[in-house]
Amino acid sequence: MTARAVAVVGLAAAEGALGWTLTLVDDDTWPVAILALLAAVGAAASVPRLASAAPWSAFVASRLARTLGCVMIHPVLGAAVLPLWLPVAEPAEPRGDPEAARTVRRIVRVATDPAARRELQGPLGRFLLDTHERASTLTAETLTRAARRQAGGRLLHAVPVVLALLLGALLVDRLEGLAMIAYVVTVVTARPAPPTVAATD
Amino acid sequence: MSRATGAAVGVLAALVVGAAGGVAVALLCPDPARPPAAVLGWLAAVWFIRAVAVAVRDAAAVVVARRVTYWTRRDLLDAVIGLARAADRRPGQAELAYRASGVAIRWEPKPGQVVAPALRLISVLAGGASVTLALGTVSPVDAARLAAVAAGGAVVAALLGAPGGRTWRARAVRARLSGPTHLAAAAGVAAVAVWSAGYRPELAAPILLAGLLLVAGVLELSGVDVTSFGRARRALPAVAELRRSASAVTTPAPSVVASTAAVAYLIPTVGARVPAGGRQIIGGLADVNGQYVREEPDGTRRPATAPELLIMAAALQRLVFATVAENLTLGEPGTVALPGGAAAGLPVDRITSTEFSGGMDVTDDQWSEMLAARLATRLADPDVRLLVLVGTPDPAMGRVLDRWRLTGGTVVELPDGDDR
Repeated sequence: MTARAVAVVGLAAAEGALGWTLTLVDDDTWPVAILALLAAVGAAASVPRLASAAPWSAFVASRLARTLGCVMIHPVLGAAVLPLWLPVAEPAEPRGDPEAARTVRRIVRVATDPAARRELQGPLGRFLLDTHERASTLTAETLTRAARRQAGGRLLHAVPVVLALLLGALLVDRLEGLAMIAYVVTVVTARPAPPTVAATD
Repeated sequence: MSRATGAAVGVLAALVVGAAGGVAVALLCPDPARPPAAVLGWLAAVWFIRAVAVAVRDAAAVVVARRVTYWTRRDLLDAVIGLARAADRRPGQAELAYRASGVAIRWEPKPGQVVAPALRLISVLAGGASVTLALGTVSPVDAARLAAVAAGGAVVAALLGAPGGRTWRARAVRARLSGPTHLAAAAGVAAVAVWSAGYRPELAAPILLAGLLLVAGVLELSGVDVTSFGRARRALPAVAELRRSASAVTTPAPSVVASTAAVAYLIPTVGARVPAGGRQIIGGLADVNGQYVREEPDGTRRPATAPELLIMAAALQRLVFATVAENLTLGEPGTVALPGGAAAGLPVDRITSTEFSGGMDVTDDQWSEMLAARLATRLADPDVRLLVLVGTPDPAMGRVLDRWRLTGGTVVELPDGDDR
């Protein structure tokens, strides 16, 4: 519990630092601010691994810090970053059928067992090839479907960032050089949203 | 989607991912004709295209990796089964098959695992090149400095973290070095980017974005699984060598025919026990021209196409597949009744390995009964009248053979020699 709290506070601090350095970018001392900006990006990128135990509080802390940072660049940007609050979960890694994978491992184990050589001459060889074909087809179908679903999920996952950049373009017509890159960095480095309720199945 | 198409789509998507970085840097380069709002809008478009390319790249990587592993496995199985049926056998082939299966399939690293790291590597390299090019059009010196630092740092980090150690301890130390050295390289790139931007305030935005993208690239390199390249380099040639070896041996056209002739030839010399009633059938297996003939009960002989001889190992493989039917019938049509006590202790259609979900483990006695049942499914074919058994049957199998003898079948037991 304490570790989670520390992680969430750390994440908020890192992203708050990111937001704070964004306000400095127009000052005379901006190279220092940029160095701090990069350090804050690095910290904000490395803390989520710790904070992954508390996805929702980390998400809220991170988005709050980023929104505040953008408001400090330009008040209107507070509205532009609103799409980042959309909880679009990152899709799961595609997996094949586990039982088919086990069957395939067994097939290879039986086929390469020296003791099975004599039996391979008979119907066992054909059976192994047929079963391998069946299990591979099953795995292929499952995996292709999962990969397609993951690709769709990842596109959906990119939508908030794209929306935030577009809204920024619409709402702020005078966002010059460094202020613009500060906004882009804030939006683009936002970490993925936490898993939605569907994580239980 | 075939292997080649999938790979082409994946490489194309990886290149688009890399090129998106260069386009973004070029967008930030100062140009009075481009208002800031338009720059942000274009950046959004580039980001979306990059997200599409990343999704396509990773989906293609999954599909292509599976197909590469599948074809390697197919080649391995074809070669191993071909070698088992081969007439001539050379000494090193068993070791070759074991090595090929070991490096390619049997243990965890599969050859397909090289696809995703390769595509990521292409993305990172293309990204570095495109970013350097885009920055080079406005400030060649800054671009060259950034690219040199990023490339040098990445190469040094890769060399320090490469899994080249001889002992596991050396490998572990090197693996642990990989993360920090990449971090140091990334920090170096970031510092050079900030320093360069300080000298060229009007180009600060593109230089900083280029630095940020190069930092991300260097950090992504630390996540690329370098060892998968070495594994694939060992595995794919081993399987190819096995395939060559398997295609070099002469395989008898229908394998059973050659075995029949060999057994008919061998039986008088090896001193096998031929039960009474078996001799005529052996004599009738093949005439002097090697043509199959079947001896009818009335003594007439007629040519036969279906071999009536079955050669079987007495020690059958314990096949732990998902269903009892698969373990017993090897996919042959028809059902089989489990003999003796096995049926009582084993709910048919239960899964015979705890490795499968809902599975159960089977005792030695039950296995023995199941293997006897597997023999019984083969003997149910009315055309099979002669069984050549290699080795001595265990009691359960012996009971099945006794029953079969009562129906007129003949069993020849060959001593379990070393090889053939």
